[in-house]
Amino acid sequence: MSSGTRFFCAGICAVFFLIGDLASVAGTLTNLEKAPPANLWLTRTWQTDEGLPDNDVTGVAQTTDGHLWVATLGGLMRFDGEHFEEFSITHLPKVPNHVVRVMYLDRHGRLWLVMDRGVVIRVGDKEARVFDASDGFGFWRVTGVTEDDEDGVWFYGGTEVCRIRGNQVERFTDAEGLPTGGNVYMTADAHGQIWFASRSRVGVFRDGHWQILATLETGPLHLAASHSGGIWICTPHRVVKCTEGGELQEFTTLPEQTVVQVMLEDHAGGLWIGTAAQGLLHLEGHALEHVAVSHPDIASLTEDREGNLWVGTSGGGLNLLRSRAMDLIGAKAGLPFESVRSVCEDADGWMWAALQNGSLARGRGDQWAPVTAADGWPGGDATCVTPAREGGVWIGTHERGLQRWQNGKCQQWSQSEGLAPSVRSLMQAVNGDLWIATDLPNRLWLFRDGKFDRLQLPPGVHAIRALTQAVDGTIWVGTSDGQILRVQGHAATNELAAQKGPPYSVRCLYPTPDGSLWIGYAGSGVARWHDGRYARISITEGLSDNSVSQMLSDNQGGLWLTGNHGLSRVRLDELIDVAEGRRTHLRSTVYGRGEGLPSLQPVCENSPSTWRGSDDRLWFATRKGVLAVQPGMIRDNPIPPTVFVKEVTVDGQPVALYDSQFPLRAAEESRLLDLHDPHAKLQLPPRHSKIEFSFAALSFNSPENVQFRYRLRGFDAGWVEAGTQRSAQYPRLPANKYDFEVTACNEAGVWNKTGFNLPFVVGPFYWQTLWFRTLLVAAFTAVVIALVRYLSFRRLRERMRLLEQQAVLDQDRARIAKDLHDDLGANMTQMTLVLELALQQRSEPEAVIGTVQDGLVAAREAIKSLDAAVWAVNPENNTLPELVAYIGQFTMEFLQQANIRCTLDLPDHPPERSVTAELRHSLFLIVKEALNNVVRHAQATEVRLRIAVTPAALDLLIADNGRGMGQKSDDPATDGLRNMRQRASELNAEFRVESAPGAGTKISLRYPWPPAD
Amino acid sequence: MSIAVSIVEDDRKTREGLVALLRRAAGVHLLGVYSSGEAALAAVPTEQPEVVLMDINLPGMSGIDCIAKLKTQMPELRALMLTTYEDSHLIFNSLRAGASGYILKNKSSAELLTAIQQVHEGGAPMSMRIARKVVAFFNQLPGPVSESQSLSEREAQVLAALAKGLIYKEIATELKISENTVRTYIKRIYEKLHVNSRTEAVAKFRVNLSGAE
Repeated sequence: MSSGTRFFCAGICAVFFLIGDLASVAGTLTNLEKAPPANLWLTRTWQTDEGLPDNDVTGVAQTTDGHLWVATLGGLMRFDGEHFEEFSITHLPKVPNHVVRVMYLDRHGRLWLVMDRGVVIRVGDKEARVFDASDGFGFWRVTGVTEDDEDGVWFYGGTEVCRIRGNQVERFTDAEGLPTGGNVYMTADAHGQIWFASRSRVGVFRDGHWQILATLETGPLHLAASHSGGIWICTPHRVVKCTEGGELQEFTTLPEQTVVQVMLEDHAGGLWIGTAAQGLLHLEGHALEHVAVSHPDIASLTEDREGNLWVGTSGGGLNLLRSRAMDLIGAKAGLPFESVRSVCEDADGWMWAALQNGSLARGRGDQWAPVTAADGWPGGDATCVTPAREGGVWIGTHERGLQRWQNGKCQQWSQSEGLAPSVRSLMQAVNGDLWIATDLPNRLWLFRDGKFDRLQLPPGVHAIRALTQAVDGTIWVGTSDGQILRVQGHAATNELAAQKGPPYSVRCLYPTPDGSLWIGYAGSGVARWHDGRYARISITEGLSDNSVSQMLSDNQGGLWLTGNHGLSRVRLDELIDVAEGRRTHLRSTVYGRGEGLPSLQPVCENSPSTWRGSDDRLWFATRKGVLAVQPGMIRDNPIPPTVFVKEVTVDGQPVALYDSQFPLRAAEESRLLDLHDPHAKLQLPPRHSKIEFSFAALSFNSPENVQFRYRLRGFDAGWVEAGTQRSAQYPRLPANKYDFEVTACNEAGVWNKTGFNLPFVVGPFYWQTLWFRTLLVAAFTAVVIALVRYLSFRRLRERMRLLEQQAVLDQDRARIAKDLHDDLGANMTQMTLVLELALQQRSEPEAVIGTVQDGLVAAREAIKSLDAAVWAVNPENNTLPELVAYIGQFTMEFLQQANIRCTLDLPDHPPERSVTAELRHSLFLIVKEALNNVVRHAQATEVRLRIAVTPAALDLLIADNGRGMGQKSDDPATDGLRNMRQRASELNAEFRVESAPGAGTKISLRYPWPPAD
Repeated sequence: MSIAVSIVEDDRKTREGLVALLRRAAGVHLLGVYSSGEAALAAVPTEQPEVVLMDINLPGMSGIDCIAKLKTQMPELRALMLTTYEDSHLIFNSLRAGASGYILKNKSSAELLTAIQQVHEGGAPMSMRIARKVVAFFNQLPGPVSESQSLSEREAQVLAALAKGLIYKEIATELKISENTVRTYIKRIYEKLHVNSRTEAVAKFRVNLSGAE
């Protein structure tokens, strides 16, 4: 069967249904013949609600830049697939109004607009030229325009013909040999040869002469060029083709009272005939079909370069026509209820559906009928249906367990056979095992050899959502609580048990031949489980929807997904690449409004809910009917869309516009920079807060699936995937040169390789300009020179100070090391000796005790020295109050041990000034030395320590009531005195000793505070 | 009646030494032994010891923080801080956090037991260095403060005497009171120190709150 006749049958069927006589079709199942698919053409309509100024569309044309121009009685529009943009023509001289009667696009890309009152406008890239009576035109009834191969544009209407070549207008009448007697119709054939028809005669205009080639039985005649040579002629009754030699060949007869208005041959050689009241006819081969459009009065036809047919109607707006790849089967097709639970195809090619109201239906193509008791089905709230390998179908029911229907007979198994009554899902494995999921969440049933077997599922399963068998034979179960159970023998184990993160609710499972198990989630995208590896993919990676209710692959490498937002298709290899990390983004094509489908709501309660038919058609159960998709009919679109930046705005104000110099632009628009001009230099001001680029891509196959990516060189690190968004915004850009690049792909994923490149410059603020900077640099240099002079002086001083500090630090370190060595070292040595002694004395316990006590004393001494060292190095103690307190406590404890009375006279609140480590250390050692002298040599009973602080100095006094010191140099106390004196002189402190034999000793020290820095 | 004691000390040897010492000592019994402030914080409130021996330098939560947290839950708990060196800053901060005294780790076992006893009865003796810090602290308190926060005349006298290096006996003689009374005053001084640091924290908290509004 040729495609032409198939179309014809479809047309008849469509008409048939419109009459509403369903009874004969929806009779008994056996009466159904194998029916062809219907609804072959998809129509999409734009009317005033969608942005057209008027529903009378008098002309449609696609210019070479890809824009679609739409002429209406309400004005001229330019369409980019999303927006209609109005181009006013009334500002041109002599143009009476914006009513365009006829529009023609010549081979140079110039638009010819035939206006009211005998005015014609020729719109070129640079200028618009108006012709009227003053140019010799003055022609009021133009019905059509055509063009010869010598740059002559011909206007015809009524009995008149006129030609404009260059700026020359030439009129043709019977005086020039134009055959008269009827309305003239003209066309140019594929070679540019002008053909004409007048009454029932057809001829050509050659070498300045009107030659009749053939005469038909009746007129008027309408003409259309044919790519294969010659022309098409429509008479009031039939369609014929006339060769260049004048031979006629009939193709079809036309319905009664057809009034032809426009004709067009498409790229495939099919002829489209627009009529005045009978709508649109399509002739393919010899078969004629009626194609439904929004209005039966067809005014204009054109085909775009992607092969879409555009139909302008007088009253119904603009139509886009293309072949339909998907169909939603509902009540019209005989489905008794439109919400579907489960769908499958049996071995005989019948499609079966379990419906939401519990009924069952089956059909072929788009002719369906309910399955009733008369067909041998006893009923029982069907929930799911799957083909039986041995013929017929398995039916799962809500009340009556499992049923098997074959050849008008039905068998049933339920509770008495050990099965729970409420079946949710069915899946027959390759080996014939029938796997059954019921409402009981923790069980799975296996029906084999007439017996039911129960499998216990792991705890925690809420509901079984999916049941499938992988290519390797593994049975998989998906649950609403995120488990993916692998069934092995009688055990089911959760393969994702080790998976971290929250469990995602599973809606469906789909195994593919590469060994992947695809998991569809309720709101988390899809995941791939393959060789023990898990990878999840969501809208972040380019999926169109995070809810995935159904999955089904076609035979062209596509995986179809349905979710809350409808139907989409991704490429399986892209999906695998993303899962394995080879790419970060995949492309998803959404099908919906563009295909004439309502918003789809898929189902996922029962399975199978999708089926790939034996003819590779894909079937989906949805709440709006059974969706049938023919992936093979989805036309490849190899034509990359033209892409360009439409407009640039800065803080909401347009600064540049694509085609701003186009002659039909309004004055305020033409003042803007033309983005179409490759030499235009876009300069943006520095003072701005937002820059927005709006862009468009001209692809009319499926404008909502055109996707964009862009990048701003000099700002963006890489391409930004914009999806279907048609604008890009940037915050304030620093002064620099930039390149905005944008490109787009059509719905088939074909990218425009070159894209659109917009270089521009953001100007500098005045303080970023050269002269300002020069000035600044000069001023800066002067300041720097002054500063350097000052700083080098300062730095020298600083370096000196650092050196001094370093010297002090080194001194401190050496001092601490010495203390540790002298005090601690001595104590520790003593301890080792004592311990060794104790070891040797182990036979005399009495002696040991004494020795160990000595050791204890040494150990405590060691800790005390350590305490002192720690105190000395801790910078927190570098304050005067700390120093005073420490010396006081030391004195007190030291004298207490020696049983000497101690009187302290310390300032209550010494000022919080900081003291150097050197002062702390020296002062403490002087006190220690002095006290040592007292304890060892003075035989005193009382010691007084006084510390006084004045803003000028620190005064220290240690006085005892001992025997005093003689002047003899052999006095052992003089050693200590020498040490003290030395330390005092290092501190630049005054040191004085007052002593007389028997009168005690007074040691005083005056430390003047060093001048503050 | 013997005193219930818990130990918080991270160094294993010191800890074992303390445990052995306390096990053998009369008048005290050991409840819990912890190696970190976190562990102590979790267990001490349920175990309810009377005195806790707390190492100042703990890894993780410091002994000071640990005492501060424990005191909010158990105001009656007495803490004796253990320290290797007489680092007056750490000790003073411990007292402000609510500790009732401190003892150097190198002191003899008898001294340790005495300190536990004293802490249990009130406050452990205050060294001159610490006393001087406490005096400075009370002196810098702003303006008029409530009675519960400022020192009474007697307390101030005791504190001044301590700061001068007088021992309890000498203070008692000088002020013509008993040594026990001196201890009571010292205990109150410890409490007021803690009260002040708490009100200071509350005041800071208030300031933060009003700052956030």
